[in-house]
Amino acid sequence: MATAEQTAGDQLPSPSATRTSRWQRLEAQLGLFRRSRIALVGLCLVGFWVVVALFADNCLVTPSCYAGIVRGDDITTWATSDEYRSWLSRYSPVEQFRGRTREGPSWDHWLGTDTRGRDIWARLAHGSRLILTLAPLSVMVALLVGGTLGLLAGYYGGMVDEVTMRILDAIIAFPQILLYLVIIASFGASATNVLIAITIAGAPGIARLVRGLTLDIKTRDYVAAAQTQGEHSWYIMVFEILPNARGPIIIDSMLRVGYAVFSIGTLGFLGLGLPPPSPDWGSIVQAGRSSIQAGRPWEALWGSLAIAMVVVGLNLIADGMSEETRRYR
Amino acid sequence: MLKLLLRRFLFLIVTLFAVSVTVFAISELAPGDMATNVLGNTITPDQRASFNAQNGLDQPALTRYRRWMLGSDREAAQLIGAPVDRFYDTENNQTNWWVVGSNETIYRHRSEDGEVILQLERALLPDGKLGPSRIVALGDEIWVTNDEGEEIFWGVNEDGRAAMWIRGLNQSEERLTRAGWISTAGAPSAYIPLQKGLLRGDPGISLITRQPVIDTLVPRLLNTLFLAGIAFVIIMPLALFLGVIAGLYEGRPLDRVLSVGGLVATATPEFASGVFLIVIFAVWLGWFPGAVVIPPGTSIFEQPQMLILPIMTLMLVELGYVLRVTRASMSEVLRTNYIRTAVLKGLPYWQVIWRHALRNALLAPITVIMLHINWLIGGIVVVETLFGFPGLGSYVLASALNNDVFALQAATMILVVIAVVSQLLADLIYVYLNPRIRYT
Repeated sequence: MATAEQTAGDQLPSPSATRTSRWQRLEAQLGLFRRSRIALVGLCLVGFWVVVALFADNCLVTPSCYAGIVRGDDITTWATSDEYRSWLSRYSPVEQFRGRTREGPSWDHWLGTDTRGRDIWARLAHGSRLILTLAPLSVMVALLVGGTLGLLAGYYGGMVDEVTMRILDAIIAFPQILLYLVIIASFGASATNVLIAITIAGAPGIARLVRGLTLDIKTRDYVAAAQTQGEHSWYIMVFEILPNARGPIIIDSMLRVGYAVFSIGTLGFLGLGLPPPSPDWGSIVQAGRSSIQAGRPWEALWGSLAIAMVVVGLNLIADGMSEETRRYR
Repeated sequence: MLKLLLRRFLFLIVTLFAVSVTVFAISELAPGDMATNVLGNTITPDQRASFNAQNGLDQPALTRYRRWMLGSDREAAQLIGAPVDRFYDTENNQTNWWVVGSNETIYRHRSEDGEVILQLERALLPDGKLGPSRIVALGDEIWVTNDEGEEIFWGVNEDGRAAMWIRGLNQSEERLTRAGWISTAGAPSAYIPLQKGLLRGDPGISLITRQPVIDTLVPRLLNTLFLAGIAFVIIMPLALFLGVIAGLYEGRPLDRVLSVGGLVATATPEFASGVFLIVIFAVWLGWFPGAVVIPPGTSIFEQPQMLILPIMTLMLVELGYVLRVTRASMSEVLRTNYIRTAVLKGLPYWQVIWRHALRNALLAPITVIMLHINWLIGGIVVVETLFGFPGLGSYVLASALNNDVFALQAATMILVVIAVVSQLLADLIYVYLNPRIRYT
């Protein structure tokens, strides 16, 4: 088995040997989805919700509704304005249909209605926007914070390293869920606080990873060359070390976006997510929880399914990616 | 080895100290004041002032941190001039603080006009119960003159707080009772909320239930340990077994099914997989109850069928993770030279696996399992909330949502201690199992 993989690796030209065009490199990266069936399945799962998020309202098709957003229309306006309704979601996430609560799937309401008579599909579609922007955003902020700390600790070493890493170790020792609970219970539930909580919980792990990579890359000749040349420390860190640490960081970030979706969903489920009436997926499951036992599980079921699809999808893509790098190493 | 142990232990203490400061500081930095958070924003300034004074919230942060960690009973005992202690009253099922007098009597104090102190006395019966109560009016000799020339008296008031009365100063205080807010005259001028401190097992009084946090915490902790323990005992052998199988058949269909299945199970959030399980097994098939409902007076241990779905939910998430770690470790070991040597020298296949591969392959998963306790705690909070299980996880959440700060701090600290100690154990087990580290 091991020998078969080695020959596969030998046939492939080493990436640095030939200069490839930008287009070829992009194609090589997308080729992952052709080679790995698991990654393809993941892409489909996530892609489905990306499309849904794009077309949840009509702004892509009739850009005039951007004017409404600039005007400051909020989520409650969707209930009254046709401008916002798209082919994909015919109702607004806050529109209540009287007398039609907790219904199962039907032609009028594809996935049924929730406890307040709102269309579940519309809520999920609009909720996908929240989760698909908040999760990558929080990972980016965590990358920025954790990456900086890791680079500094790894590059300078000594006391800087020791102090930074001990503090981060203490944060890692703290169970994440408690960190979320304490932060959000103290500062209140809002998108910003969810973002801050996820950043604080995620940054130490990223810092550890980046520090490890930096320690390794620091010993390479090109770093020594740059140092001899008299380059600034920050220049070496940002332009010599960071680009060469890219691979593992990208895979890690992919996994982290999955964790972030997981965490945002969990926070919503625990009642610490975005305040109502925002169509947060975790809150949708929480709201539907009480009707499961009454034999009307639709709200909780679809909410759970949606969040599971996105998290599993992201994990499958990350798995395919790491499999790929392991194969060619 | 001893040096390592010592260093690790020292680090553990430092971590716990840092965590306790952090937990305290975060609730300290929270916007808005605690009185409004707990009592709602309709309270009057007088009510707020009384609440803050009674709960010691008007003290500097350092004093409060010290009382939270080390307790306040000793400083109160010094002021009162007699020891104070907690006694359980069978009449109203409450534990409360009393001054311990000589000759087997305990006291509490009250005043109606700030002039005369009424002393409530109860005898300590030999069987540990409290005798009938008796009220005496104390004479003038109890008043002590302090530095400012005021005549003061320190005692324990009816709410179980150490309190200082100033003679002739007829203050009124706002108290929240079952009947609502009442204003009483003859109130003390200063309070010390009594507690033994976190380090001595008493994190204070819950702001919501007005009962000692520890009385709720212990049964809840036991319930959670029971749930997590059963889950752990079922998951680990199963996950290790399946992981080894997947590692042995790496790349074959069996491995694909196991590892992709494991990935899907791990990636799905607990509340989602829990909902799927409830819908399938409780609503659709009707095999197991979909919620944990415990009639008062019975314990969770009497109804094991209620635990099936919570355990299955925890299992799904944990199983996949451990399985994948084991699989990766197994397939890595199988590629090593010593395994190749063992195969080439003609050892039977199962002997190679059993004696050489397995021992080395299980090294990584065992430590990873311990490190994963952090993750398990998150799962437990969600699973307990989903199923309504009366454990520590749902308690933490409820305290966080109700702004019950002392309960939240205490429960958080217990969970952090569990997490940190398990990480220390993981380190030690790894060192013990891996001679390459032990002897360097």
